[in-house]
Amino acid sequence: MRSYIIRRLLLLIPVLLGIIILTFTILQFFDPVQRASLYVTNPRQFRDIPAIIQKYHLNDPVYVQFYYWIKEVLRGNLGWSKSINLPVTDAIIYFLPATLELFIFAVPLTILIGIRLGRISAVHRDKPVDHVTRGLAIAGYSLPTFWLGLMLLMVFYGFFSGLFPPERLGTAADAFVNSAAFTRYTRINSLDAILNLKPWILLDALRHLVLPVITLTVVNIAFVMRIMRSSMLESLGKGYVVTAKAKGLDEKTVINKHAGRTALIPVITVAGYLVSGLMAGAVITETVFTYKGLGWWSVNAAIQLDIPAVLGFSIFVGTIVVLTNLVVDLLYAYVDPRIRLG
Amino acid sequence: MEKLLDVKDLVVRFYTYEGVVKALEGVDLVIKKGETLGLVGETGSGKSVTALSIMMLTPPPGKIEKGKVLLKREKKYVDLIHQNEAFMRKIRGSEISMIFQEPGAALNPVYTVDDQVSEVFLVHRREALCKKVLEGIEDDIRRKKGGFSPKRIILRWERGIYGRMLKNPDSFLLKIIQRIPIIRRYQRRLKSEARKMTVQILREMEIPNPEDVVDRYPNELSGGMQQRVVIAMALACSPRLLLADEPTTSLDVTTQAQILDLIRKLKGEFGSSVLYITHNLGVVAEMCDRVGVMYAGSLVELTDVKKLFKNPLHPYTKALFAAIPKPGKKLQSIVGTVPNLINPPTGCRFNPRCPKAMKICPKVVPKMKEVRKGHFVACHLY
Amino acid sequence: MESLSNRWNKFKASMAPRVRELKFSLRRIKDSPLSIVGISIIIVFAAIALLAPVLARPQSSRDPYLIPHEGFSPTPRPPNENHRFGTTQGQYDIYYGVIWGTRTAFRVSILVVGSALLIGLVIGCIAGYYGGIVDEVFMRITDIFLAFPYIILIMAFVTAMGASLDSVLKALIIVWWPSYARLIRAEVLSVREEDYIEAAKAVGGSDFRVITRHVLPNSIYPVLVMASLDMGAIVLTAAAMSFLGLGAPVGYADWGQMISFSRNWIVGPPGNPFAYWYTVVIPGLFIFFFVLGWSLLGDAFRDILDPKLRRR
Repeated sequence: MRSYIIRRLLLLIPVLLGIIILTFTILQFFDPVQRASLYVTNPRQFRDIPAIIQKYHLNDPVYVQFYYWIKEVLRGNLGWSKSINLPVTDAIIYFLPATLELFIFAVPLTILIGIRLGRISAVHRDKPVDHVTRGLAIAGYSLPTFWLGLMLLMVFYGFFSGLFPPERLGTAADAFVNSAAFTRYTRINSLDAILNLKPWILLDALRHLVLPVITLTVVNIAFVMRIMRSSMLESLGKGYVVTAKAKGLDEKTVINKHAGRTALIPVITVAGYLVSGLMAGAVITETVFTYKGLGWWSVNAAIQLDIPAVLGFSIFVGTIVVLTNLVVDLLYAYVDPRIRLG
Repeated sequence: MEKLLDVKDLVVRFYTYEGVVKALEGVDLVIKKGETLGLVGETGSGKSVTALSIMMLTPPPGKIEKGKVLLKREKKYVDLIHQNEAFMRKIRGSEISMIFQEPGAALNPVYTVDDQVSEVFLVHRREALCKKVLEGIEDDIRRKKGGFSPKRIILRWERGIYGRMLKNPDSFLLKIIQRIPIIRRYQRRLKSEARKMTVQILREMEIPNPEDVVDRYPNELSGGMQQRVVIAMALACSPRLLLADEPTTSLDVTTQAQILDLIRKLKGEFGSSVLYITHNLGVVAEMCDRVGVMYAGSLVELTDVKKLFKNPLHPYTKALFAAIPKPGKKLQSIVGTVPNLINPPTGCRFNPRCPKAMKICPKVVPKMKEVRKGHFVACHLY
Repeated sequence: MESLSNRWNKFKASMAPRVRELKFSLRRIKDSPLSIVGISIIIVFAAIALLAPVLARPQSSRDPYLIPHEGFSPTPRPPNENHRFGTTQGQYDIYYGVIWGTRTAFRVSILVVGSALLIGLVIGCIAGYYGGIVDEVFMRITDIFLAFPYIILIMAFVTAMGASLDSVLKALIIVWWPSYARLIRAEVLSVREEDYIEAAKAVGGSDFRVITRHVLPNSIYPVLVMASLDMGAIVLTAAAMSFLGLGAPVGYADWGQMISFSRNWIVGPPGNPFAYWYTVVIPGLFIFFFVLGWSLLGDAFRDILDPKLRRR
């Protein structure tokens, strides 16, 4: 187990390095003037672009540039986002809580519902329940995220006049949250509302979360369901399931306790991909609902050719996904006694 | 000796994409009280299916088409085929148990030994466990005499719960309570009593350091130990019938000998009957009182051990004995291969490979006849 | 010199197990309602794409992929006799757009899947077959690509290359080949250890021959599954890109592009909130069913061809 952990941690380094190299390669598509904006920390520096080009050797060979750029990145300077008027690093910190709030609700929902559907599907294999569940999951996966979002808005915002509105908060709530009467501890609105003991803010935040969370969940459920189903089918065919039945245990215990537990283990490995998929979904969902999180910012930036923002965002997300995969791998090794003690 | 289990004319078919596999064609077996009946045959002859079908655990897509499986219960014979699941669940694990070929596969890798063996006790010996727990609670209450304390209240409450469990095990209230996270801690008393019983049975299986072993995961144990755990699970509730499906095939020879000794000893102690499935004639000679020989889904010969070894009657049995490697002699194998059971040969299923096949063999299925006293054969030669 | 009929018989005999497996697979496809639905949907779309010039006659001088628009009025108009599905913002004919959009969809998906497959095939074969340093380097590269949520990587590339459908295509190919390469590599690795490879090499077969005759036939199935699912996934991603404004230009016959118009019209005037439903629903339905067809097919393939789940 220990060697496994060490190996995994060591693997981290080349991958992170690779992400940085990849981003840097994309960077080279741009000319020096555009690239200058990656080294800027406040707007006044824009007036002196030639100095920046000089300072960071943007006209020099690639490896020289890379050296200077890496130095800046490691210092936390990812450039200036012109679409938002903030340094990129600050922008990331600013927009992170919103996206985090989405994830807090979407991830558990997707996992729990996906697991449940996968289990039902496997237990009733090839019966109508199975076909319907699988069909629905595939249909969910085939829906364009943005289309689903728009349709939901059309119905729940348009038809039901503002039941579940877009964006993060209604105007009144937004004003209140930014005023002195409200302390933003985490900038996660629902959490802050609880901490500030203001139920109406909580309600407002939740109302705005319903549609984006549904959109994110529906599209990604198929993913979890599929792996749970195949894992469960494999588990149900194993010897210890027959043993369990031979002991006189009832169906429910056999399925849930014996087959279910072992089936869950491979599902953990998918969690990493799930986060990746949710991140991609978040980009689109946030745009459709004008939900000002990381995804919305990145699209906005891309359209305005705000290069530092797009690249900074890519590095950030890449790092998060790699770390998540690491955590998932370690978790997997811990949960499975065969690996933990083997 | 009276009959414990009477299998009459059991027919099992598997409905697969490729066709209908006629796995068992009219199998007749009788297991008497306290005897070990051996079931010999090649892979694919239907031995495992027979055992699983006795427990009504025929794996899908298999179905029991015809026949009777009569189990003696309290002076009456009950046909297991026509019983419902709830009834079978009571039988499985407590009156009829099964042990399997690969102990590693039979044990769930993510649960400890304690968890898996205690399960049997928790399902079938609830009453006894409850009584023990109640005694323990009474002791605890007596010790905490005098004064008001939260512990006393909890003890009183636990006494109430277990009392109810004793009287009405399926009560709805209990079902709800056992789902609530913190409150359901009361179950730990039950589990610790079950654990005591688990340690006890592991000790009887001659497992060294049972207190230590109970907390281990199956993959931490050797093959022999795993098999002992499986046997412990099977014998935990002193079943009247033990179905042993090639329990030693995957173990090395020394361990095999130990396990066989163990089974023999336990059989004597517990008084159970054993259906011992194997393809190893040597084991048969050691363990069994009577033997049945199966080929391609039917029983072809049935008699007691000595008679079979001294004087095998069916051509297949004779070929089996001839095929045992003897130093100095040329290895005799049986011509041909086991038939495809989707389209089995007509008549006697052995006829394409039989050295003594006659014209009638492919036409008529031979019935089991008592050719000599206590010696049954299904062959047209007799 | 053997007679022709003898040679033919031998060939048939050697192919017999493969034919049997194929027949079995086909039967399972027939038995699976989901795959029949999937195949039917795809056939319908293929027909639409092929018959596009007939179903929606292009205006003679222009690029057929530019949707005709009469006038520039921003308000969409509902379906009427001139415009079967109505018009969207800027008076672009929806019917024309979705019909030719089918062609675009096929173009995009076939191009991307085909190229990614080819690149992945070559790289995966090389990495898997030769192993060692080549393999390690390759694995790290694919790790990096697979670490990124693909949309973000595509966004970055498209921003760098300038927003257009071609950039999206290129970006998609760049992002997609690693998963095929990984798949092929895994297959090559497992086949490489088989004894018959040793035998083939011992007889003097060149590497190329060994790879093509032994490795590839075995790895077709999982690749097939992935390719079918990807046909849908790629169209989804391309549509998303166009929707965000990073893909096809305004007025191009692309489903995602058409939906980007409708963002402003999801809520109609008070009293008739669904007034402009056709701008959103119709293009979206086309995307949905196209992807659904391929996803059903891919999923059914997976079930049918997965050796563990295959036999009952």
